[in-house]
Amino acid sequence: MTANSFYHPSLFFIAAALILPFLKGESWWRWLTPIPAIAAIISVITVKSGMYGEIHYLHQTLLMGRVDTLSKVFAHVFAIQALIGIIYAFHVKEKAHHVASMLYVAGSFGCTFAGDFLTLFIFWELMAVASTFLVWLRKNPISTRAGFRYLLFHMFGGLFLLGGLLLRFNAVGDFSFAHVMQADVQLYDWLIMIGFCVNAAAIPLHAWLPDAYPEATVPGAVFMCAFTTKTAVYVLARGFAGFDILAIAGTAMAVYGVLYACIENDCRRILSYHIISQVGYMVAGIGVGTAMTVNGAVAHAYAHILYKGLLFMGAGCLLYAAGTSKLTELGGLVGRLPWVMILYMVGAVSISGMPFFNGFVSKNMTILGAVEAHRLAIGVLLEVAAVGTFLSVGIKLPYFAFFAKSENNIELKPIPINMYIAMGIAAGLCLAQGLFPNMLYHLLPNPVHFEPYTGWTLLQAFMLLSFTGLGFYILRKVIVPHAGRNFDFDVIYRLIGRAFINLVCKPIAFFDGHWTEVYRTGGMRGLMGAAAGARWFDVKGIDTVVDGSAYTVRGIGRISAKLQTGKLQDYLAWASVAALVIYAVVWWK
Amino acid sequence: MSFLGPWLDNTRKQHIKLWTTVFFLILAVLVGINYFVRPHHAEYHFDKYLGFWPLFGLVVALLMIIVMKKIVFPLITGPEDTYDSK
Repeated sequence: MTANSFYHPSLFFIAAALILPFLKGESWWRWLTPIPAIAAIISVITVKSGMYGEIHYLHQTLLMGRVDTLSKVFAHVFAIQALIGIIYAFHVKEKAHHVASMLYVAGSFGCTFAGDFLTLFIFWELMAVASTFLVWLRKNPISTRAGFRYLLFHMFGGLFLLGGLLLRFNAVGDFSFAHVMQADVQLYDWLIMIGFCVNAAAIPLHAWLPDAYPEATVPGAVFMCAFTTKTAVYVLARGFAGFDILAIAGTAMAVYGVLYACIENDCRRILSYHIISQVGYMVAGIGVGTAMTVNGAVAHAYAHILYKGLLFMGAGCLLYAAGTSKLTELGGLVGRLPWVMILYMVGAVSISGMPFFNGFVSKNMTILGAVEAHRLAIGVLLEVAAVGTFLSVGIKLPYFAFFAKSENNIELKPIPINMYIAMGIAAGLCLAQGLFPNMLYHLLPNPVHFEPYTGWTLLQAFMLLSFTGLGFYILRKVIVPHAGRNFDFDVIYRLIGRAFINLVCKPIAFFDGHWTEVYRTGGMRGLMGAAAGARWFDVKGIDTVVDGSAYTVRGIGRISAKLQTGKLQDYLAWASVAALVIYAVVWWK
Repeated sequence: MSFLGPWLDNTRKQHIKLWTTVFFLILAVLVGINYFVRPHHAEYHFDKYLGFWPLFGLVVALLMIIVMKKIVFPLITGPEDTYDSK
């Protein structure tokens, strides 16, 4: 069934990203930035389920718009978060930042609605490249290096996906992206899953996340925390629900993330580790694979995007105002930034699963779903992660950022009002969905039979959280953050990377050295002879013909010399523009 | 808007005793309610006993802080500019 009444949200964002650089003027164009997000919200709310936008290309049928309950719920929250992020970034006068974030969001929508692996792969890579610019645009040496590491790792993950989809094409003969049964899984399915797991930050492929996100720009991190990992959650739910290894991987992520967050000092790095932990809940729910846990995973992704965005916005306010997000340098700021504290706390209690906020509903759906599927160990470990979440995000971070010290005379830059507005919207939605879970339920892929608010569940949550608080109170002198960089699996990536470079470079250097020797003795003479012959031909025959075209070539050469800045960042930007143009040509062909 | 910050600042400095007392009262009340309210069918078997979840939260929090901060942290931490010193 093919219909024409679906306006793909990616188109709005790509169009906006292509138009924006040509608009003149200091800053009036910022008022246009929310338009694609608002258009996306309308498009996602009004679209009916169905298959839209089939393209026939190279004897293959590509599907741009697979709209069903699963893709719609993710697109729904992506559209809302895009609007919140754009409002939060409204004060930014750098067009490149808005262009990068819009292409990034476009990539995410493209993946969400992709019905085949080729379309998915193209948008997947667009996300990776565009989001790298959100790190680079922080424009300091640390973020430049972190951005390169981030890009390198995502290219590595993309290669797994590419290898998997090509092998699969070889075996099956098409690019269709559908659910895989655990019983008949093939090597190419595993490769594709590994590619997805890189973006989902599954252990041990996760270290790019806490490495890069804390170095991104203030609004850039708000975008990044929402889209990359949750797009990966979506494709895992689409392709690999019910895979037992995901249940184990997700549970490990949930616990691992909170353990690292417990000893981190940088606010945004604490929150980054908690992305790994929270995505762990979702991956575990997908892995268990019952109707209730998949519902829980999807609901948790929805809720998580809202409250994690809110938390990153709060931490971003601290970084923006104080110039640092290190807990050792913050503290005692509650009197000076009261609204940042209050709005941050809404996100903090939501992520901790406090009753009446959205995290409570989705987290319990996942945990109880796992227990009802007789996966007790998973349920208990997810409760351990819940304790760790409240400990770090709910108590430690706000305590050492806003309280702890009696005074803090650090100079604070005034926070633009648009940042407060964006946080207010996110906080309102977190609370509204906690109070009215039906807002969330009617979006979920499976029918919901879950009553979150009973006397016992309320009591259990309050007991768990408040006695976690008692643990913090007892050991508040021990958990004091210390400056330092904690090693993670990135140490191993570096070792592997160095070994690989040596493996490649040493033989080449050896060969190159000897080849030069051979060439100098034997090769030069022959070359000189050939050159003399070619020169005669050139002078006598070619010059007259070619001189005219030489001027044209010189003209092109000047333009290309301008484009050749020697910076990998610039080449990447041009390559993505070229890719988009090619894709647009194919789309309208 | 401007009254909120000073009020929060004041209340956290002046009434720290009061807030601590309120916190411990809440803990006591929650365990008190737990005496009467138990799960209809215990999800994990152990949670039918009084004080299971308070104990769970407290023990996990204490263990996590001590193990991570006192044992793991000194082993895996390096200078802040580890990756940016060159």
